[in-house]
Amino acid sequence: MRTGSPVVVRVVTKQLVPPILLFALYVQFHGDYGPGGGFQAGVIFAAGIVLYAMVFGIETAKAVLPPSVLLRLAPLGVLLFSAVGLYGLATGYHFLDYAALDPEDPAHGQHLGLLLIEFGVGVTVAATMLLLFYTFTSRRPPR
Amino acid sequence: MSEILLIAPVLLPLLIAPLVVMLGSQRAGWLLAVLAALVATLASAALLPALGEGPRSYHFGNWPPPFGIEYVLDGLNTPLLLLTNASALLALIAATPATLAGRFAGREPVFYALFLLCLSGLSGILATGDAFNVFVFLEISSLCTYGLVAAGPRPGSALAAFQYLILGTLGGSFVLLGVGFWLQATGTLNMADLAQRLPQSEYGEVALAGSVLLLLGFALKSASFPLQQWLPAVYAAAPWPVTAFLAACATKVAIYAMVRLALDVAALGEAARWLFGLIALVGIVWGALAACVQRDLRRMLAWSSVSQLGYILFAFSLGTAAGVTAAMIQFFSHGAIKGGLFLALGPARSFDDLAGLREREPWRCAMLTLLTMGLLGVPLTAGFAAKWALLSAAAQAGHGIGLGVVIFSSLLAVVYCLRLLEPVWLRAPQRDAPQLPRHAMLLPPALATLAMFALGLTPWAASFGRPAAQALGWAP
Amino acid sequence: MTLWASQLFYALDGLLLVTGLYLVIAQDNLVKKLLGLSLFQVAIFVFYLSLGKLFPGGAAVLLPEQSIYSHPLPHVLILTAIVVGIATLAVGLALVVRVQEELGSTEEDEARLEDRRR
Repeated sequence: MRTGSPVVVRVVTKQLVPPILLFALYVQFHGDYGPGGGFQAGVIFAAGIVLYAMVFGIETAKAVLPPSVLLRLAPLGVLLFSAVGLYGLATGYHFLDYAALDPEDPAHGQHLGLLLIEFGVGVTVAATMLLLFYTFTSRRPPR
Repeated sequence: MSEILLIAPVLLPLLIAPLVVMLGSQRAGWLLAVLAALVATLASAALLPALGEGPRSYHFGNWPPPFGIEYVLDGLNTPLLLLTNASALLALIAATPATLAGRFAGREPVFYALFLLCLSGLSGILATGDAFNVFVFLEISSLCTYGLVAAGPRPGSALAAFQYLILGTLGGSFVLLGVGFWLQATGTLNMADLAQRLPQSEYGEVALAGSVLLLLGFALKSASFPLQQWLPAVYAAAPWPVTAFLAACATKVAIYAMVRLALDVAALGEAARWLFGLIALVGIVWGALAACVQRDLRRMLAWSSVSQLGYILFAFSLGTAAGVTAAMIQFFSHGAIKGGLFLALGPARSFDDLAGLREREPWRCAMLTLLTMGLLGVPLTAGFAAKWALLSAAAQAGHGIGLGVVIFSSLLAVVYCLRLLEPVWLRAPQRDAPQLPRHAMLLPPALATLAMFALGLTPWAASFGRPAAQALGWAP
Repeated sequence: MTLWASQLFYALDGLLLVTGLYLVIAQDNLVKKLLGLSLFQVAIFVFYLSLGKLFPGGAAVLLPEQSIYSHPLPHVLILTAIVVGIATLAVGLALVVRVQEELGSTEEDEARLEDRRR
């Protein structure tokens, strides 16, 4: 679906969306060294897609990231988070004890664990934010 | 192995919920949800035998408290964990995809996920030993409850859910603010640590203000007088299995939080117990009076809940081991009876819907009658055991006003219980009476009825009195 | 100076808090009620953040040139609370949409009348 966005807006958006998504990934994976983390990264990622949807139309955005996929991605992130926790339980450590991920070097295990759970958080937050956006914008009054 | 049991009742529903959404099948979602509630119930039952050995704690991520989050299961919250999970199990058995027919248009898995998350949130409030964690779990369970209530069949369900959302969020925010005050006064969030530091904090007023805010928040969530107005609207609006679940345990969890935070952690002692006694006694009479004049069936039972929840708070306000025992019996008794009543009523919402139930559905009629007897406090039922324990505890503590109020409200209960039984037994069936669902719908109320008699005939619930009183430090 | 500043800060934050609460109580429009609720929550978030602030202290990042840090715990707590607040707002707005669809109004008294009428 082509919307009536002016050509300048469309060209600028095309330039802007990839850096936004890249910045989201930077915030995501740099989270345990500097300011950042899954929540922020997920929201920034979703904001990039929302910008795309606003300029090129909801239907175009849905072709890129369909709601049915997002509905699977949102719980997937939670499951990734819990899988890290359960791995600790399964290997005889406490729930969410990241040291279990690298018993030789617990500090490295902590980093790895944080990276993984933050990735889970990021996936869930991005998917949920986009689902919210789709749900509100696609809602048509019944009848 | 036994360590895993400590976290299983909270984690299991939390982990199964995303799986249910992932699978996306309503049949599989229902089965998984029932299975999760069943295992969580068994896990919390398995915690009971070691109740006398004192509190057991689980350190998340192996961070020692007060730095990490710990779960502390002691004599007060372990039995309530069982009550919560068991009532969720019964309600979920009743909430088959066929029961929910047509409300969701293919989104049933989300309903089951919300139900499981709500259960996990309530269990979390019970199990956690961290004050901020209480807020998080409170909001998890509340947010899911708003969604579940909005799924109700009436056109006004969304409005009722919205009004509950406004009030519930205000309550939750007061809890958040209260925790913030406590953090400011002591610099810690761990409950055991708070219990030590709050009394000797140099910012006593800040700590007290925090306690008051926390009490306000949980008084709202527990529908204590005078903050009970949302309860009848919510019970009337929600789908009936959800109403049964909420009636059986949700407000009780908030009462637990009130008692735990005010009497155990903040150790407010005499003043808080006086306040609890006051709002409980007024609520008992107010709820019973309001129940007598309701025109809506579910609202009547909701107001009766306000009255019955007052019994629990009053029992705690006595501050004796006998009072705690009475409270524990009433927790289970009211959970089984009121949860069972809502399950037995099914989708019936007006008194007319029950007309002639004796001829139409004799089994349902029998269970409704027995459960109503329990609500009345007829001997052999759990209701009697609870009232007896409460009356003797009040007499022991020399609380004459309380004794009178409980007896007076029991007389009022006769009025509203007869209003429930009259259409069931005496009225002729109406031609266009709605067909109530059968088969699987009979099992949950039957189990609740059995539980009610088991609680009435055995001293099982009373056996939690001593460990619970020990947890509060009111018994050696 | 800092004591005076923090007193003023608490007073302003309290004003924000009661403004939100007032909106929740006084507004009849459901969306405006939600905005009031958000304002109320934001005031609490700001209060929390103020708890962790130490006046000479900087961000809680290990740097060789600073030895006093602001307390990072309130920030972490409030990150969680903000997410809860967003979730509440989303659920609330979704419910407003349903109220509008089913009862034909986002004004509370009109919707309630319509609910009674049915």
